[in-house]
Formats: sequence, C-alpha cells, structure tokens
Amino acid sequence: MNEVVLLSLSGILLGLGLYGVLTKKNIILTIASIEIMINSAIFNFIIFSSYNNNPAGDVVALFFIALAASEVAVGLALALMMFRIKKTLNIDVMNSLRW
Amino acid sequence: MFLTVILLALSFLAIIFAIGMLYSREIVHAVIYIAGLFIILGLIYFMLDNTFLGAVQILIYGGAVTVLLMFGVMLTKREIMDKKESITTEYEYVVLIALTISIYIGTLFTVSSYPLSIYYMSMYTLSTVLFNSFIGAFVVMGVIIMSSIIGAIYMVKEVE
Repeated sequence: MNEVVLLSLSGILLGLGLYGVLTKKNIILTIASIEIMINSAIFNFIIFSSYNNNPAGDVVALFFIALAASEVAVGLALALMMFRIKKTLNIDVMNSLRW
Repeated sequence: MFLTVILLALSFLAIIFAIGMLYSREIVHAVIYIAGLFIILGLIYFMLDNTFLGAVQILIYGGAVTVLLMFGVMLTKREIMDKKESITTEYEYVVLIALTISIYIGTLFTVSSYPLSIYYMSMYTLSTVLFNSFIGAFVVMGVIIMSSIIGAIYMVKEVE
C-alpha cells in the first residue's frame, strides 16, 4: 500500500512538472517545473532503494541532487543573460536560434 | 497503517503545493510553493527511514535551490505574470499528455508487486558504497559541478 502511494505520487509529480514545462512562459517557472520533474525521478530512486535495501539508488539520488543544483545555477545564469539582452523573461522571444 | 495515513497526508499536501505552484499568479508565491513541495518530499524521505537524503533534500532543495530561484526573481523585472496570457493558449494537448504519462506510470506501478518492508539505510552503508564503488563517479561529479559553476559565473559576468 505504501509503495503504491509513493510511486503514484512520483508519477503525478512528473505529470505536473511536465505540464508546467510545456505551458509556462516565464523561464524561471520553467526551471522550477524541471526541478519538480527531476525531484520525482530522485524520489523513485529513493523509494526503490529503501524497499530493496540497496544503497546504490541512494548514491545515484545524491549525484542527481548535485547535478540538479548545478543545472539550476546554469539555467538561472542563462535567464539573467536573456533578461539583460532581451529585457524580458518570456520564453517566446527566445527564438534567435530557430531556423 | 499509521505510516500509510501519514504518507497519504504528505502526498496530498505535496500535490496541493505542486498545483499551487502551477496556478499561482505571483511568481514569488510559486517559488514559496515549490519550497514547500521540496520540504514535504524531504519529510517523506524521513518517513522512509532515509534520514541522510532527507536532510540533504531539505538543505539543498528547500534551502539552496529555492534561494537561487528567489534571487532569479529578484534580479529580473516582473512583468509577464501580471498579464492574463502568462500561460500558453493551446494547453488542452498538454493536459492530455501530462495526464497520459502520469496515469501510465501510476498503473504500471500499481499492477506490479514489491516487497512491503522498508529497510533502514544507515549513513555508514551509504558512505561505504559512495567512497568505494562510486569513487570515480564522485570525482567526475565534482569536476562537473565546478565547471558548471565557472560557466555560470562567466556567463553573468559584466562585459564592457
């Protein structure tokens, strides 16, 4: 029962994060939604590691937490650069590489 | 049974915070909601007897990432969230895709069978595995974090 609740929560969080990534126009909220999706993946690793008594899942979750933190730093640097150049945070104006 | 009730309550709160983050008008409120979501996930890790990763989750996600997002809000001007069209118009397909994926994953997990007991994962075990089997990955992770931080600083550096 417990693992069904937790894994369903993980799936629901993944869906909500995907909804946020695909609909939000503010780049900071898009980064936050990506964080929710990464968190649901980390959550899966920790659930299976706890239920199977295997510490490798915990180690991978620790690596993912570190990677997600550095990803937020790079994403926010990109957002600041974009705000400095385009004077807005709207994702729709970020199309200079589109052909 | 007690654990199930607590986990259900925490899951319900987490979903409430995620939906509040998606539908809040003010971007600062969205960041506060996502901090609540991260802290609740950390509490769930504590309930799973995984105390070290619960502490790491609350410290890094509830503290550092949230403050970083808050700095991103503070250093930019808020203009887009005040308008009506802060969300894309054709979101019916998006709702369909997100619902399909979450229902698919949920049923996939529900029909499978897993062992029922939670094992206590001590920090000693975790650090033994981390510094013996995964020591190469640990060093590579340090290099990745350092290069990404240097890249971020180089990007936001003032150019004349």
